[in-house]
Amino acid sequence: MTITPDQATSATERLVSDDQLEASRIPVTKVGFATIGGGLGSFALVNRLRIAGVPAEDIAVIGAHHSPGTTFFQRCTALGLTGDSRLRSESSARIDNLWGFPGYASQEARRTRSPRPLLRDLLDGVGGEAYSPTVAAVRDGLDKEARRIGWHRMTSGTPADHLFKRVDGGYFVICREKGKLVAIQSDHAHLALGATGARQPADVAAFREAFPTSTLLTSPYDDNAATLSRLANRGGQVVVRGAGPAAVHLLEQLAAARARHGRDLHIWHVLRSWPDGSSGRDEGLGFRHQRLEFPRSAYTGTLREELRGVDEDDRLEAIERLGAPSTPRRKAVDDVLAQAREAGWYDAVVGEVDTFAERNGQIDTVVLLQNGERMTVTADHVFDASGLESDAGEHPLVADLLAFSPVSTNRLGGLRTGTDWTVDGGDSGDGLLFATGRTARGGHYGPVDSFLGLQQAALAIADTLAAAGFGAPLTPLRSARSWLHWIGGKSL
Amino acid sequence: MTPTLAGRLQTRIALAVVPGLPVTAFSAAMLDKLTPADALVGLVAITVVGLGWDAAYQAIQDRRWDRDWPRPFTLLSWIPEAFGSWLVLHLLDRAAPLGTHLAFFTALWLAALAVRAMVLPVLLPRSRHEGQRLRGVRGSTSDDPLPVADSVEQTGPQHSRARGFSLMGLKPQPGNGRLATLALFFGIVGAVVLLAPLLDNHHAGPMSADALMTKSGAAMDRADKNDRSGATSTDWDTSRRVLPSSIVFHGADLATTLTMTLMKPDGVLVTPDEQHAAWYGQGAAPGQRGPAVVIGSSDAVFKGLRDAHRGQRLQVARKDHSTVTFVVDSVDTVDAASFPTQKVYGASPRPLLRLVGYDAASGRNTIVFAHAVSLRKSPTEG
Repeated sequence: MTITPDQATSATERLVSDDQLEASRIPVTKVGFATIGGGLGSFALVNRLRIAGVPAEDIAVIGAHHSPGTTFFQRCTALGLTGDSRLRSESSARIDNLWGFPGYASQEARRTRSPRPLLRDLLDGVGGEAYSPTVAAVRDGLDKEARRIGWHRMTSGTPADHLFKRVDGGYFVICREKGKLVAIQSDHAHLALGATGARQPADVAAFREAFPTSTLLTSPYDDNAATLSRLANRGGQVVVRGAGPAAVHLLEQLAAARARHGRDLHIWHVLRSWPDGSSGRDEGLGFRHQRLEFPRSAYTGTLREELRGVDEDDRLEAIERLGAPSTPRRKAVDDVLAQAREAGWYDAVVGEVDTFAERNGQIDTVVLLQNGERMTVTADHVFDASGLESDAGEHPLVADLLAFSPVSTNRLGGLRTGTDWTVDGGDSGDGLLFATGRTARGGHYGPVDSFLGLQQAALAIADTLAAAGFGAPLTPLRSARSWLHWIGGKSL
Repeated sequence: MTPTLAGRLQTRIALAVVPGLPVTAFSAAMLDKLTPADALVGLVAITVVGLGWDAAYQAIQDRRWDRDWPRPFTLLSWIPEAFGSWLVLHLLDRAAPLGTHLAFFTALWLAALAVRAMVLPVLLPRSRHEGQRLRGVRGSTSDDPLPVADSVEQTGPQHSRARGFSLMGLKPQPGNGRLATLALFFGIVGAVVLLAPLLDNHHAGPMSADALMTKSGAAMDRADKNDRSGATSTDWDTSRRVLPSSIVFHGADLATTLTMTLMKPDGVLVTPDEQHAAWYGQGAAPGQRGPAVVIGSSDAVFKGLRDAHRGQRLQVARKDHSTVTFVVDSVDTVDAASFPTQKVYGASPRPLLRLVGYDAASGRNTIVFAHAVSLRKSPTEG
């Protein structure tokens, strides 16, 4: 007997009934909407729902942390960013302000009594270094807004273990509280799980398997304080891999350590390609310079519309190309690198990493150069800044969904979603399952993992939910009134 | 936020209503030389011309590598839009003086900028994410599938167009794409700014003090083309400018010498003295193509004008001793407020004559419209 794909999915589709939960003595709490993740993606959507008048009791935020920014700011700290460091973002992409007005720049201008932030924001894209909000500004704004919408009343601080479809429509989210399983029954559900951690390319995974106890290879998201201070004090050879902002920040830190301690620290920068400027983008010294993660029109302009219109293969290819590692151009970095090249303690190596291997307390990086030759760099440490994990299936809850429902992932590792951010095959009766952020990578939208992208998704999803009978549409009148509440800091 | 073409057009039309209409009413009240009717025509012209500019902006934007539109470009748009709309109004003969127009335009432009930056995002939070589109972002979901449909429509033709970053592959833009775009932008702006005075000067004759009263070259050429097929023909050189010396019109009991008068800076046209008629020297000369205008007081020298009627003949003697004969087409009596500017001063390839009698007390104007039929050469020449 042959099994058609349709039969295969329906055969594995797993539904849970109220009776089953009752038989297992799992207590059930009912809400209208559950968001799983509890980070910035959940926050953007809950913020929009609360602003349009959904009571806090109708929303459950299921995630490991009590504050929406915990993971985000943990990663900032790990990268070595302090409160005064600037993110790669723009003034009107305000995660704590749905309307984007007033932006971070005007807030900072008022605080510092200087028109400089506003001027830099105005000249964005034309000249000078554009305005970006500081980590502290984003954190303070986020905390304030979380308090205002009553975030703590909606979250329990327990991560979700499973997401089940309910037989009669809707979903069960299973969590563990004080050692016991509890279930939250919701009409609609939302997944915004973010990245599970740093990405492990095949070569890194092979190294971990071969040398499970080695500490010579780390990612920028690990705690590198001890390593950096050891390298600063003793000098040595260090390999940095990657061409994104995390790699650039590491280079800056290493250069500063070298200048401070005067030790001979040699940096080998391993890059996959050497962009030659043929794309029209500002490219040089191995870096693609770009203001934001994607070209700007991919956020709201024509590129965004085109991405919505093409089929999956073209779209994924385009997203990979448009979202290729890039970094905003900063004069300080250019100067440091130019100096380093001149003094001879910085070398860029262009090629794919073949293997990593530990030998005599040092780590060998074998790079397959573009001319086909192999080059071995022996170093005291390797920083692998090749990004965050983008495969949503790495998350156990998504892996579970993939195994027992018709939900599927695309080549980039995101769940397949429609243009209204609903997960393909995720609906349960009248219940809708949404995915945003990194979990929806490769969907119809490019920069899913940005403040602006999360808010855009939140606005669209909330409108879909309103049409489905949950919450209210954000009419101009309601929007204006809510904005006045926001300005006045009125608690919801 | 990067706009799309649909977003640009929708936003512009919406902003023409609010704050456009209130600002128009306010400007008409505040600016002396802007009548409410002209202000309204101005608003419509500015908006329609602006829609054209939007298409041009979008074309430039699509040529940029990241297809973005930085804010300073929006500020620069003042230049082409302000002068472009003035030129169009000028061609329609509805332009206010340039200074007045610029003040009016700037008020509209600033109000629109402020509303777009501060009010639209608050009222329609989705529009900034949808490339400034206003349709289907009002918080109701009935329109939701629209953006998708829109995008599919727009994707088709756009793929074939040359531009910066496209989905079909990184466009190798030879040389400096950004520089080329800037050059294109400034080229258009510069062309508009430079061409404005040229258009004004195209027609021979001294500079006019008021836009309303000048014949523009473009209008002239257009009229030229339209009339070329017509049966009208004159057997003398109508491009020669010969100043008039006197006028004789038996039907209106009129025989007077002609002096030349120019318009005063405040836009008023008067005769030097009541007993003589005067020829408007900034317009055409009698016998030259275009309307020659002769004015006089209808209490004194042009008293008989209201008795004139169609078909009567009159003669104008010129400084070279030639005489041009005109035939009356019509006689009109109008209020000064509803003066038929276009009909009197409007461009034409034919040699025309208008006698305008004004009555300072009642504000009534009596106008005789006539066209040239023959020219008698001076005795010495012939």
